[in-house]
Amino acid sequence: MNNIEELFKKVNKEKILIEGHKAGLKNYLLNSEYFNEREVFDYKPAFAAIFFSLIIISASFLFFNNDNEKEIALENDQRALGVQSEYFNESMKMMSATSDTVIEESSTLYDKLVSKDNTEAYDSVFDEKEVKVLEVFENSIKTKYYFNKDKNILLKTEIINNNK
Amino acid sequence: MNIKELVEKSKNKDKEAFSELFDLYYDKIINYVFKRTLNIDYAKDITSNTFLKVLENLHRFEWRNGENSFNSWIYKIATNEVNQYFRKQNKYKLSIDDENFKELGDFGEEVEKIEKRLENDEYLLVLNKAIKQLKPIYQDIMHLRYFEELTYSEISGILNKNETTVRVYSKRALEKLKDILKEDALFINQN
Repeated sequence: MNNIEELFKKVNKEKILIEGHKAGLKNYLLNSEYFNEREVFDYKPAFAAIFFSLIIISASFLFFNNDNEKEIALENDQRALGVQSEYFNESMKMMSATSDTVIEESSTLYDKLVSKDNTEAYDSVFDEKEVKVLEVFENSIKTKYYFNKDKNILLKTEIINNNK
Repeated sequence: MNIKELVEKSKNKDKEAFSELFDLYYDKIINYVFKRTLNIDYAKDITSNTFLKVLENLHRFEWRNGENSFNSWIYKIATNEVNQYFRKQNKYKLSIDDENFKELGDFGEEVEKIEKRLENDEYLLVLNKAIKQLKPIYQDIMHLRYFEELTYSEISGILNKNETTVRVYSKRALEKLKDILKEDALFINQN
C-alpha cells in the first residue's frame, strides 16, 4: 500500500502550466457580464416595485370608487327624499290652504251674515228638516237665508219687500 | 486577504479579488483535470467551464463547512465537469494504452514542454490506467485523496457522501488498485 502512495507522491511533484490558457481565461472572466452587471440597471426590483404599486393603486381605486358610488347613491336617495319631502310639504301646505279656504268660505257666508247688526238668527223647519235661518234687514228689504243644521250649506234664499 | 475575504469580495463583483482567487485555484484545477483526462485540450475546456460555472453560481455559494467550503465547492464543480466529460466520451473504463500515450505527445509545442516537465509521465500513465479500471466513485476518491490531497471531510462534501463511507471506499479503492498494479510489470519493476 505504501508503494502506491509513494507512486502518487512522485506524480504529484509534477505540475502542468499552460500560461496562454490561464491568461486568456482570466481575461475573459474579468471582462464577463458578471463584473459589468453593477453598471447595468437592474430591472427586476424596479419591475417588481412598479407591479406592486399598480396593485396598490388598483385596489385603492376600486375601494374608493365603490365608496363614491355609495356616496352618490346616498346623495341621490337624500335628494329624492328631499324632493319628496318638499313635494309633501308643498302638498300639505296646499291641502291646508284649500281646507282653510273651504272653512273660511263656509264660515264666511254664515258668519259674515250673522256678525252683522241687522241680522237675526233663529232655528226653523224647512222641508221637514231643521234649518238655521238668518234674516238680514237692509232698508225695507228683508232677506232670509236658510242654512242646513251644520250651517255650511245654503239651502234657500227669500227676499221680502216690506214696502209692498 | 484570505480565501473567505476573496470569495466575499468576488461575490460583490470585485475584479481584483476574483483575479487573486483565480490565480490561487487555476493551477490546482487544471492539474486535477489534466491528471484525470490526460488530454490537454479537454483539460483546458473543462477548466474553462469550471471557472465559468464558478462565476455564474458564486452568488449562491455558502460557507457550510467552514474555511474549506470554497475548496470543496470548486472541486465539486470540476469533478462534475470531468464526470460529464467521461459520460459523453464513455471513457470511464477505457484503458490507457500506447495510443493514449501517443495522443499525449500530439498537441504541439505547448504539450511538448509539459511532457518534458512531466518526468514521471510513466507513473502518471500507469496510475491512471489502474485507476480507470475502478468504479467511477472510486476514481473520484483516488484522485481527490491522493493526487489533490484533500481531506476526507472535503471529499465527502464534494461527492455528497458520508465521511465514513468515503473512508471505507478509499480503503477498498486502494486495495483494488494494489491488485491491479501487481499485474503491471512496470510497477513490479519499481519495487
